[in-house]
Amino acid sequence: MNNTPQNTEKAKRYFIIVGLLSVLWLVLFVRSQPHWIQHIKEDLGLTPVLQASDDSFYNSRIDPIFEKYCVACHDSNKAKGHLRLDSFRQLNFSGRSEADLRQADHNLLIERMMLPETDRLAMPPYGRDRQTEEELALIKLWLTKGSSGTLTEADFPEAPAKAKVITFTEINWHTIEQNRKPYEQQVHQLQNQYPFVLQYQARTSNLLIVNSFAIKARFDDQLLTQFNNAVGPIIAELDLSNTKISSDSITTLLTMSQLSTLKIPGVEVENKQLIKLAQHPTLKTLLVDEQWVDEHIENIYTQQSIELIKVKQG
Amino acid sequence: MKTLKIWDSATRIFHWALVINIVAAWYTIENRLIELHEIAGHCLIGLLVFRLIWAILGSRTSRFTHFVVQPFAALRYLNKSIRLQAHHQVGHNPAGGWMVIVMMCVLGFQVFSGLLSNDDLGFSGALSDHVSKALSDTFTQLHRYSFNALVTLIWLHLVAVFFYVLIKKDNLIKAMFTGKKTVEQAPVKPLYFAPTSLALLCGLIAGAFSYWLF
Repeated sequence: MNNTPQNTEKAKRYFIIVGLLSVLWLVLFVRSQPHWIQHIKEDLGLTPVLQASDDSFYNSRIDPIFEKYCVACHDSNKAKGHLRLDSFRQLNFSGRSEADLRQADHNLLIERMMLPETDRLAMPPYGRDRQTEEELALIKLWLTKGSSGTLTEADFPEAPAKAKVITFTEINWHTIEQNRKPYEQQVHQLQNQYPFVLQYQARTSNLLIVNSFAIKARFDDQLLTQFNNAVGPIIAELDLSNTKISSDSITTLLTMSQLSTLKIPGVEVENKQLIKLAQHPTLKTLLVDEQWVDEHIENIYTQQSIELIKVKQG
Repeated sequence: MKTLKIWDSATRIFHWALVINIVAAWYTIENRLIELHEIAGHCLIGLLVFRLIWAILGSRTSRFTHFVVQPFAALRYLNKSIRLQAHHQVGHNPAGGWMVIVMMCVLGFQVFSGLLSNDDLGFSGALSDHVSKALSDTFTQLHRYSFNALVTLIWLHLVAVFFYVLIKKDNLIKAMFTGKKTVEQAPVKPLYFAPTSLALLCGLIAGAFSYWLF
């Protein structure tokens, strides 16, 4: 084709049209990214930041439902169908459908959630945990009141009370294992030698409970010394009821750096040894026969914030 | 003016099969037909592998050696072509040649990321079991994003093709259907066209590779 002025003019017109179509396409593309537009508006100060208030009904009641059933696929990482339900802000941007998900009537989100679970378009998809009728009713209630990010629970008196959620802190088994390791062998040996006497306070603890009940007839000062030498620093609870230990063992007990509960009913204890025992830095509870306790001793234990439980024999 | 055969059947079939499969891949994913989307994706793998082989062993106008030039030469041609000062007649023009390379790279990434993708609903790409779930999720996202790059390239391709058809009065679309084109002057050295049997063999290898991945 010749490079005539007429042809050059045609080429110019062509590229103007192409340019306009490209701009149109770009505009349509940007329009399909409402979060970009919102960001720009917020950055320019044209609109307040779109987010639900901390005490909003959305954050306390609606967001947990989406979190439970939807966010696995509709978060920033996956955003299936270009839809994110991981916050009030994202819900406002809708997804590929560009449907307004805040409207109460003919809400696409609700319609999809209400489809039979085997329906191809059902949400959550077949095989996934599905929301309950109550949860769906709660979302509908929120929608009918304007899909607000600011209304609080007080604005929804008709909403059923929020279920209490009990959460447990995650257990770090590795740390527990590491904490148990220094005395693992000694504990194992004592457990083999004296069954039913030694156990951990809990599955999550490295501290020990010593219960002498099974061997109380032969549990004397010497045996206590043996336990102390082996695992003394990790004994937290010690039940020496009706054993043959003497007052001399108080010195041994004072070296147990984590002892918090001591039971010595049926054991003869001298007055001065009981006073000495009150100086134990970690002891919280002491069970002892009533006959060895007088007012002076009670006062000392009260001062030391140790619970003194007197046991009446016979 | 002479009518000359420019494109062999294999290149033409490849081109239109590519168009059909890209449209099919888009349509199937838009309508949540993931199994069909996977088939379209594997067809695209086969087509890309075929085109790579054909760009080395195929007919002259389809070979890399024929259409890949220095990038600056391509830019110079583009500049002149837009001003109607240059016109390329046989095979891919220098700028078009680079479009082929870029298109193949983007399409290559598109199918590769598809192979590593998953939809969390039971579907996973043929290679996704070889990577962690997190990496597979990342590639699922990238698969989505790179489609925008592909659409942009297709738009540029269409702009260029219609520039030739409407302004330069050179009907590239018709040539891609018939394989023939009216040229002012035939090349000094006659064009080489690879035998159909070689195209079939290449197609078989590409198809077998794609099926093996499936």
